[in-house]
Amino acid sequence: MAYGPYNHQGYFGECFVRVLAGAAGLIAGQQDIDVTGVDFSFDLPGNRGTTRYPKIEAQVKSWTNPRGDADAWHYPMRARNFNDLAGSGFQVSRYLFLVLVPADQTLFAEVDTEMLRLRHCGYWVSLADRQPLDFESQQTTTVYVPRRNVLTVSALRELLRPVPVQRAATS
Amino acid sequence: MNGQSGPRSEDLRIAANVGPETLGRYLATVGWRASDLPSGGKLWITEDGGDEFEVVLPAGRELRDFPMRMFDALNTLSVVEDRSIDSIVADLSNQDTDTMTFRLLPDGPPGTVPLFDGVTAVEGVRELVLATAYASVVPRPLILQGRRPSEVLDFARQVRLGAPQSGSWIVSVQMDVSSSLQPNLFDEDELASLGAPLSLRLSPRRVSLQMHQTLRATLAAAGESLRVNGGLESFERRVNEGVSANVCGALAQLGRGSAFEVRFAWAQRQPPNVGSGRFRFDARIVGAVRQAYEGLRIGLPEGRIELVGSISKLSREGQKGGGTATLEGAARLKQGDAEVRVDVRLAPQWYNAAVDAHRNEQVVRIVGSVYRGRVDSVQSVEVLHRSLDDNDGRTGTGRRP
Repeated sequence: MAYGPYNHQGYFGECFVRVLAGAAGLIAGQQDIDVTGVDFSFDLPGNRGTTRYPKIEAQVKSWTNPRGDADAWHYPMRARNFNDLAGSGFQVSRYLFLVLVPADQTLFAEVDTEMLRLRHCGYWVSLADRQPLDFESQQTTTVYVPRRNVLTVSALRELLRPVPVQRAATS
Repeated sequence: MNGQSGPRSEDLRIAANVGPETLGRYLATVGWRASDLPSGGKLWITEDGGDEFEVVLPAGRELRDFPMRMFDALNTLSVVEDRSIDSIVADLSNQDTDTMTFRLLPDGPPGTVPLFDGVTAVEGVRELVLATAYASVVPRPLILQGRRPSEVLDFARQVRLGAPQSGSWIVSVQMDVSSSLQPNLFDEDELASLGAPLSLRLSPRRVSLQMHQTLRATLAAAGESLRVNGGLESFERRVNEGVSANVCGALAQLGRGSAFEVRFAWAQRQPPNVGSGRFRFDARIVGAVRQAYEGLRIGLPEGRIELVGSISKLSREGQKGGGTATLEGAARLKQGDAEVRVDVRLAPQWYNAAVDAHRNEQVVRIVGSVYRGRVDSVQSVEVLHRSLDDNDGRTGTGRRP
């Protein structure tokens, strides 16, 4: 598969999150989203390459054409990916990390002797309170990502605080 | 794997087939400690080589990420135990077999061992099985075992040796314990007191537990010996836990060329709760065990000795009626019994008693003194009515000449 502009953008979005995880002292473990439903796990490092708890998991999406209102970004998401995050029943909390990036790839990173700047900004949202979709009838949905949920080093650490698991409703 | 690559579909399928209760029971048997998590599930912690590790077992199978959480747990366990997830899952699904895995850690290409070291190691495994099987049924602890009864050899012949595996160099001993796990009317001590034959008293689960206890005690003795700059006292003090010259010899054979590790995987139908299932004998520990073997096997210490056994050979000297008797049995030492075959010089009155005992196939108790490996200056010869196997001569003493 050729490495095109979308690969470039997606890879940068992942690296953006990796940088924050590295600064937070976390291990960002890449996952196969088709197998696990997430792109990354974020763990505390343990001995001999193992990990410690708590941990979280996330899908990382990059977006060059952000739309929304004053409170939230309105991100269009494929139903299948949405369902891997939506609802209760996960032992490990799952999040959507939305990274807004420039359309011009030359602006992704800027370096001088004082600072590395990555454009633009990452946001996080939990979809635990949303109901999974029937993606036979609905291909996409809109996810509201609060603008106040800026993905920072401290925010990432805060997301690792354990929360009681919510059991999936049994039908 | 440092969290750098996620599981494959096949990994998750395998992990999802492992029950958290099953894995929890296993973790408990190998010494992990559990605590409840506020988020649900259980946090299990262990320490290995000074490093702490933790896994979380999920709160239930209905969780949507259950396969991933089980994979996480198995993945960490595979690092701690330094073996594949497949190997762990195979142990968890094993219902009826106690498996003792001996993992040699030699230098050189992975999965290989120098020829002579490999042969000696397998001989060491055989000796360890024999020594622990015998130790599981002897009435008194033996610091030095002699010839094993045929029942012990028959038991050892039924033990299976698993095929060598790569990943260092690994052989395993497998004991089918299904018969041992049936509810029995009597336990082993009751069977012994009822005079049941050895073949009935030799239970595979009892032998594997004996081996576990013995290895733990030997490792502790060796560690203690190293801390006090040598000496046998730490080994002698643990004879009642199965430590013997024979076990030390077997472990010295296993460690001939390298450090090694022994791991116990219990039949999951009824895993015993005996703490850690892994014992690592590093080069210094093996050295201490080898020294103990050299010290413990020497035989009879000089000075007063008490012997209990049967006369296997008689040799009269001169016309006065005295002579030499060869006794096969146990020497009572302060740290335990040593099975010996020893010559005893007897004055005429003792010699005649020995002749009677030999003729009547009776067990005798002899008190004398050891001088240069031979028993002399005998003070008494006591003929016991019962045989050694029946009750070890602790009751029913007979006449004195």
